[in-house]
Amino acid sequence: MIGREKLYALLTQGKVEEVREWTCGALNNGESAETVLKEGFIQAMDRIGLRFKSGEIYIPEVLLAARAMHAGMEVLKPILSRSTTKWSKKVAIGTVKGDLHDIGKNLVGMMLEGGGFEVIDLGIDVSAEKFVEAIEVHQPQIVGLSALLTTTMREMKTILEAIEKAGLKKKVKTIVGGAPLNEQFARGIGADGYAADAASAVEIVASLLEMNLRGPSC
Amino acid sequence: MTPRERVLAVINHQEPDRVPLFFNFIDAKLLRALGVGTMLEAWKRLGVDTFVTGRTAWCDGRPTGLGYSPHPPPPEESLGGSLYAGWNGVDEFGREWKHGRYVGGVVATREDLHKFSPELKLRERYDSGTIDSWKKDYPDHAYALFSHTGPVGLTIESFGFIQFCYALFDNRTLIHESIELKTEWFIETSRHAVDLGMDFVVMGDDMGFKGHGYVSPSDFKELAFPYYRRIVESISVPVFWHSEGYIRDYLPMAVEAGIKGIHGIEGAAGMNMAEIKREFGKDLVLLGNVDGNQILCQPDLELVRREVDRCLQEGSEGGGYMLSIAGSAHESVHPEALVEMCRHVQVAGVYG
Repeated sequence: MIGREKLYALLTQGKVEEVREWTCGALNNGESAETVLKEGFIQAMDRIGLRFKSGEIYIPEVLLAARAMHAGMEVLKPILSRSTTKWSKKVAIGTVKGDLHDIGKNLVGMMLEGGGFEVIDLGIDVSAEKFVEAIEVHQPQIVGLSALLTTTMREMKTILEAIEKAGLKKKVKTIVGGAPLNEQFARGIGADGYAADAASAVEIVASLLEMNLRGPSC
Repeated sequence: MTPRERVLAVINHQEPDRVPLFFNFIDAKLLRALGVGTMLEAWKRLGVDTFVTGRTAWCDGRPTGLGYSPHPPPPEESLGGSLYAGWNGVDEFGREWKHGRYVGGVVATREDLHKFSPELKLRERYDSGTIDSWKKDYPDHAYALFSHTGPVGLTIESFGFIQFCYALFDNRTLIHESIELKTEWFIETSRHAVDLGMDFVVMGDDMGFKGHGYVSPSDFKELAFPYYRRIVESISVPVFWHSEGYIRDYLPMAVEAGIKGIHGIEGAAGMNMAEIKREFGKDLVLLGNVDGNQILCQPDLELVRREVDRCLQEGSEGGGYMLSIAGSAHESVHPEALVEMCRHVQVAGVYG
């Protein structure tokens, strides 16, 4: 039985070294890396995400936890990558062409990693061609497009059209987000989902993949 | 009423003859689309009541223009509108720019902070000749300084948002030192603008995302409130606070700090003007709330009129409201929609 509450406390306090030690300890006690990830990190970060959504904590506290979680993931990732079972779903994210803003995208990336997803960060100013290429190379289940500007949000439609034209629409779900966007815009351009904020992005991704992040106990 | 009388009445929470019209910023590309040569011509054509000036800043030795008069003019390939058009490099505050867009901050240490704490350069920051000529030709208008250099937002930008968040836990002293330096800089440079004849100062200090403030209210109370209060107490004209995003939870502290009004009130971020008017209308002058992301970016003028009517209905009762876009008049705003917004408030915004 892993010490979920201990991990949760360490993450909320941002204790980087202690999280690394906790992870090593859990593995040394015979827990599998998959169990540590799913029953430890994902559930703890999910609780943190819920507290953020409810307004109990703010982005700095979420980032503090995400930074500590990374220390644990550095221990787990080499083991998980050797695992014969596919340990996570992939999400490719990028800020669309013409847009250089990455705060929102980075927050989404951190929250998704906290949710147990493997994140492929394509960066900023990403063209439709690069998104298509990334889907073919990395084969993510989800692609997330970010835009901060009203001028660049239009590029999202171009990218979604390029994905369809490349015959990849059935292989990947698409979500969009960014300050000037809303649900109506997302539907209008044919996106599969719209995320109003970073915490919502994790829920949307999970729902598109029909995953239950909170597990059977919740 | 003259435009100035109208604006001053609103600042005093009295009903003027009609709701004044305010812009913090009109993009240079939008100006060209409007078919007017200068910002002054645009203000006159649109019926703006307050003439706004900015202050020059420098990026890698290149100056921005005086608010709306880019120098040099924005290159067509620039992603930026006008104020930061063509900027590439690190500016005097430690903000990094690429093609006119902010991409991050470089301040991580005390040495960085002092390296990127700019001199006052008061005479060089303002084009006093232009301001004098505006005031001579249009003495009946109100004048305001709009400067997106509030102490907390500028600290966040100069650190970079994520690094700022980490520094909240790892190096809070450096954050306070940064806000302290920027507060004093803001006060001194704003005082000079007041000496040049500004009726009020709008402190641009972005503190919110969609649906969430940047930091907890308790952090805001520690990091923003005392500095805002010092700014208000140190400047002899009313100080307004501009922020995009959701800042509802901070408003009681803004009132307590003596902030006279707020600009932005971004509905898409969760700011409900009707509720804010009910809760804070007696204390805060409200400027903004017109949707600049969707409604003003399309050509259906009936939708524009409805949006103006909604804002007037929610904000104008008893005075204390100036119609304005929730953000700025950026390059995606449809010129006809903008003109219609300004025309319609002249009619629908009349009191009595």
